[in-house]
Amino acid sequence: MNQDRIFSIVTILFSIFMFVETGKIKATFTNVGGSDPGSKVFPYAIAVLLFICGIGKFIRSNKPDEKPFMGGKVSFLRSMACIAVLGIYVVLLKLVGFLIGTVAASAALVLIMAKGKKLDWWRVALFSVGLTAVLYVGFQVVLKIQLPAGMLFS
Amino acid sequence: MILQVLSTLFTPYHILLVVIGTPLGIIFGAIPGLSNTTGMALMLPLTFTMDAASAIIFQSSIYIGGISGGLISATLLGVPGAASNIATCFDAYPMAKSGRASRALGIGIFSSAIATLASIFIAMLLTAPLALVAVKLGPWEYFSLCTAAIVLVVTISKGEMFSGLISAGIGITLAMVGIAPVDGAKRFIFGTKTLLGGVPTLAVILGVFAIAILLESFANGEEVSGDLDTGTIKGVGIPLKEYFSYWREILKAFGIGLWIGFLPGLGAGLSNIVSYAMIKSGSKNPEKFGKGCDEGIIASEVANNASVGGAIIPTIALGIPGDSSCAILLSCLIMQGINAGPQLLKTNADLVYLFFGVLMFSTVVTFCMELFGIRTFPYILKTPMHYLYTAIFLLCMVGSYTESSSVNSMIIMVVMSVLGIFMLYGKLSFSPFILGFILGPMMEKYMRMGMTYSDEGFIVFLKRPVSCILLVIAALSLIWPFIRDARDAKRKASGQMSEVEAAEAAAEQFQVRDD
Repeated sequence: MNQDRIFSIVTILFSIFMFVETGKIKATFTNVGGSDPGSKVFPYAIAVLLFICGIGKFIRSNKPDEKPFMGGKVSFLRSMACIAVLGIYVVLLKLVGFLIGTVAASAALVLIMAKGKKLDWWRVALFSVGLTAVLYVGFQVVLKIQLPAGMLFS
Repeated sequence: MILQVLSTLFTPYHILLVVIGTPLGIIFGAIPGLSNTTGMALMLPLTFTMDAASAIIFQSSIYIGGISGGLISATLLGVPGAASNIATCFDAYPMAKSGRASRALGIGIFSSAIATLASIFIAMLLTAPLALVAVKLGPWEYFSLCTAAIVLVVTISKGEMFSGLISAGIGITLAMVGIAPVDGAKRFIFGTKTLLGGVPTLAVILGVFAIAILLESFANGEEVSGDLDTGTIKGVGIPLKEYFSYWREILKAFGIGLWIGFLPGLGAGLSNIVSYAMIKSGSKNPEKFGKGCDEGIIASEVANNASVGGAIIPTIALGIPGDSSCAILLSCLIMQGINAGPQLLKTNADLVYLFFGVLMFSTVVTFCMELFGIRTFPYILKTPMHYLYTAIFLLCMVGSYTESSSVNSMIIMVVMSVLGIFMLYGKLSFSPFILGFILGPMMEKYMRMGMTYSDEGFIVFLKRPVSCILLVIAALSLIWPFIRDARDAKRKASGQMSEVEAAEAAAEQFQVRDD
């Protein structure tokens, strides 16, 4: 099954989920006036649109994929690893704060995105510390936005 | 009004914002994989600490710099900085390779400056009358206008229609999270307080337009490589008299760019290719196109910059973004608490004319920076991607944090980036998505207002002439993709291809996203 068809199936399933969830919406008052359709009509309409378009895309997508998604499995996994690092970064911010969290995340991202290229450890360290310093000065000092200090240090 | 604009614009702080924003935009426009849209999205968090005027000045400078910046990599590396510079590669790169880099860059820089200034001037003239008409429209017409805008983007731009409608549907769905208009019902918040205020606009923009798109570039291995020859860059490049001898091509490209830019959701990404194809087909010597001819560069760079004014007209007059960058600009205004619609000219005329003023000023600054700094910008293209993208991703994360000083925004942004990647998996364009996200709430609000004011139900939208015409246009445009596919299949079977189709086929090799 090609990418488009898998995507279409997910779209159809999502539209059904959306339709069911729309039914649970509680109106705050029953009659606004005129022929106001209420808060559910628009979500229902979009759910139906997504359902129909999901089926339409499924029917029209009969060609095999011309190229692998995001450069193939390895590249795709690297990209997902980057997103995982960003997710872990959020946790690190809460635990250890901005400074340590950003240095760690920066180093991890550089190593993942280097795609196996050998990098000098001191360049990576220098970049990570430098980037963290720039972001800290830019946001906390110049823009006066309080960045997370971390539960362990606050 | 002019004096007020000048006195607001020419303060040391605002000039500094232009001087910082413009080269930022040039850099983002020049680096393949990035774009002025990405640059504007990244800098959105910084505008929280600014007042409305400063935010507009900063974002507009990045916008103008980015539109023009793409010609640098297109000329020197044969890689377009953005979709708006694809056709520039066809002739600028061969010209640079033959030792005439300064001529290629000079033509591109002049074309950018002239087309941008002229299109902004026309936008200034046309926006006010259009806004005067727009304020007379009621909720029925606005609903139909928003619907037509989204449908036109889906059906006229490239890509499969169902994919476009799904993309728009996803954008509208995201916009429905939170409190419903009119009656305040809670929708799709799943019991969380975080989503009560809706999905943060910044999280959507950064997650989808920055992280997802950059991850795609990274995964597809889009790194800048190749010889970087700056040795032949000397002087201005082309005598002005010689440049204006191409006045026919300049005017034709300008008209194409302005019109395409005016259509919602389309913009420079399409106009440069259409302009190139049409000027080539109308040329007495079409065989010289693609080998380093002046007209090829003029066709692309005049059209893509003329689209700026075209895109601004519906953005300011109607509150409907002309392209993705204008969508970010509108988001910036909304975040500043300014209602960006036809009333904008009435309630914030000073901001609107400041906007036009800064666009013109940024154009001049871009022109000067590119002309005198052209030897240094290319070296930015050599920055290793693993350092550049890391810096951008972390800037996105910190930027999303600034919206609410809470890590919840960061979590939502990461989720949005996953959504963006999933949309890329389904080969969806992001233009209908962002249009749906911005226009969706307006559509629902106006639909419900229109039906509340009447007892006739939805029929009232068809009874009002302007509303009916717009809905009919939307309905007819839904048929257009089927007609286009049948026509293309017939042409393919007979071996014929129009110049526009040939240019679009040539553009495919660059695989640059047009968002």
